[in-house]
Amino acid sequence: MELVIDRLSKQYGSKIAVDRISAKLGKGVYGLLGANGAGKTTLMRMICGILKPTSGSVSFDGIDSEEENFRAILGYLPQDFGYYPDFNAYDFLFYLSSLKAIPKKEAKAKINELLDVVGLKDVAKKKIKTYSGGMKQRLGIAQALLNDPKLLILDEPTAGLDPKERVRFRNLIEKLGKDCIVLLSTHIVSDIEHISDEVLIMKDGSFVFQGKWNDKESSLEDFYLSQFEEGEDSE
Amino acid sequence: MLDLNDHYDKIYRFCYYKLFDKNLAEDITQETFLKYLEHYDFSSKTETLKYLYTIAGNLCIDEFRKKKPENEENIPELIFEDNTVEKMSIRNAILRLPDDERELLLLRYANEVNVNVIAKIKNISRFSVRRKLLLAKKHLEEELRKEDAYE
Amino acid sequence: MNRFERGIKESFSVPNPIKKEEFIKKFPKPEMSLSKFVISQIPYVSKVTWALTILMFISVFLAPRILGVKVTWFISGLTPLMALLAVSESNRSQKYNMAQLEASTRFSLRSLLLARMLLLGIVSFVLIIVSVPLGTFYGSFRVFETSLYVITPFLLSASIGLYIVRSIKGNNGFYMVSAISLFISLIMFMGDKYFGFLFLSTGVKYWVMLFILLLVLTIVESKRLLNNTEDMTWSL
Repeated sequence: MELVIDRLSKQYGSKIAVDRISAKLGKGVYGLLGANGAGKTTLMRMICGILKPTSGSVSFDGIDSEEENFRAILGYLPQDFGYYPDFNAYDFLFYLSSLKAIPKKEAKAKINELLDVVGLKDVAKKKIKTYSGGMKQRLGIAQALLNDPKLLILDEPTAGLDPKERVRFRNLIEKLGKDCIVLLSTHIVSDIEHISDEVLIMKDGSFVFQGKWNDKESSLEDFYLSQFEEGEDSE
Repeated sequence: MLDLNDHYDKIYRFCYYKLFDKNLAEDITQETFLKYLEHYDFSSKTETLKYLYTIAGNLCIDEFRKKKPENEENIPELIFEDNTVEKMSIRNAILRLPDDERELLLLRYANEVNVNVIAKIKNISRFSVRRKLLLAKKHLEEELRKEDAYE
Repeated sequence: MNRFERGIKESFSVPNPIKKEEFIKKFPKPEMSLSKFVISQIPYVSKVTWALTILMFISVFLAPRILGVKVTWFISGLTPLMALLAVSESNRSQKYNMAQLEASTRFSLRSLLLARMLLLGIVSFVLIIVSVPLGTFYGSFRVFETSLYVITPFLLSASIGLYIVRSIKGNNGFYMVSAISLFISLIMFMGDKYFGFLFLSTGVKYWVMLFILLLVLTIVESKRLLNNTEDMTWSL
C-alpha cells in the first residue's frame, strides 16, 4: 500500500501554490502541518483528484488519481462542506453511499456501524441544520469512511471538536492508521503530536520537513517553530 | 462492507479448529461466503458476523456427521513454521479443552470477536459469555499446569 | 489483551489457506452500474423542482381550454422556465456546497451532473413532446412552426443558463439565469400581442437558423459544464 506523489505542482498565474512536492507514503498516520495559505488544502485537493495539477502526478499502488478506481479507495473530509436542505444524517450518508457506488443493502449496514463509531446514532434522524459544529464534523468523518477507504485525506478534521470529541477522534485515527494511509492537515500542533507516525511541514508550497518525529527530544511545537526559523535564516 | 480478506482468514481458522483438515476447512469457508452472497440483507455488522459463524458452524457439524467415528480420535499434531515451545504447549492444552470452550477462546482472542457479537452468535447473554470465557481460561491454566507437571 | 490472552491468540495458528486469492478475485463485489446510478438520483431531485414540473404539465393540459388559439405562445413561454428548472437543478451541488464531497466519490461530480442533466433533460423532452401536438391542434400554426416556436426558446434559455452557471458562481449566477429565463418567457407570452412580427411565415427560416445555432450552443455548453466540474468545487 503506497501513495506516490511525484513532483506535484499547482500554479495560478504567477503564484505557485504547490511547488514540486514529492513523497512516498505507506500505511500510517501523517500529519501535515503548516500555516494558513501554505498550500495544504491545494495539495490535498490534488491528491484527491478534485483539482488538476499544473504538473506532476499522484498515484496509489499504480492507480492514477484521476481514475475512478482511485476514488473508490479514497475517503475525503474537506475543510468545509454543506448539505442538501432537510437532510438528516441518514439521508446524507445514504446519498453519499449512492455516489460511492455502494448498494443500499451494504450501505445500510455500514451507515449504522459508522453512526455508532462517531456517536451520532441518537441524533441520526434529526436534520443536519440542527447539528452543532462538532456533530457536523463527526458526520463528515463518517461519510469519509463509508467505502472503507485505504487512503484517507482529512483537511482540518479537528476544527470545531470539543476536547472529548478530539480524544475520540484521535483514537479513531490511530486505529485507522494501522490499515490505511491517513493524511491529516492542521495548523494546531497538538492535534497530531501524539498520533502521527510522520510529520510533514509545509511552507510556501513545499515541504520544509518530512520525516519521523521523535517526541522525546523536544516538543513538536518547538520543532515546528525551529523549522521556520531555519528557513528564514537561510534567506 | 464486509472485509472479505480479513474474514476469510477468520472463518477459515474457525473451521480448521473444528475439522483439523485444511482442505475441508477452506471449502467450508468458501461455501459460507457463497451462501452469504445469497442472503446478504443484514442490517448491521453484528448480524453479518452472526450469520457467517452460524453457517460455518452448521456446515462443520454436517461434516462431522459424515465422518466416521474413529477419525475423531486422530487430531493431527499441528506443526507449524512459527512454532515456539510456548505456543505449542498452549495449543496442546487448548486441544484438550472441551469443544465449546475451545471455540469460545478462538472467537474471542484469535478472531477478536466482540463479546456482544459472541453473545448473539451463541444466543446467550453477554454475562454468560464473560463467565464462560473466564471458566475456559481457568481450565486452560489448569491444563497448562498439568503439562508442566509432565516435564 | 494481556500476555496470557495474546499467547492464546497466537497459538491458534493455521496452515496457510491455498485457494484464498483465487476465491477473493472471483468473488463478486456488490456494485452499482451507471444506469442504476442515474435512477438512484431520482429521489434526490428537489421536491420543489418536481412540484413545479408537475405544475407545468398541468398548465399545458389546461391551457387550450383557457387560451384557445393563443396556446402556442403560452407553451413557448413555459419551456424556457423548464430550462431554468433544469439548469438550476443541475447546479445544486454548488448551491449547497456539496461539490467537494461529491467530486471525491467514485462516480464523481461529473457523473452526478450528467445524471441530473439526463433526468431533467428527459423530463423537458417529455414536456415538449406533449405540448407540441397540443399546441398544433389548438393553435394556429402547423407542426413544424409550433415545434420551432416551442423548442427554440427552451434552447435559448438552456444555453445561456448553462453558460452563466459555469461562469458566475453562487447566488448571483442563479439570479441572472432566472432573470434571463423569465425575460424570454415574457416575450413569448406576449408574442401574440406585441411581437406578432416574429411569427410570420417569412421569418420561419430565421427561426430554423436560430434553432440550429442554439442546439449546437446548448450541447457545447453542456459539455463545457461537465468538463469543468473542478470550478464547482471551490467553496465560496
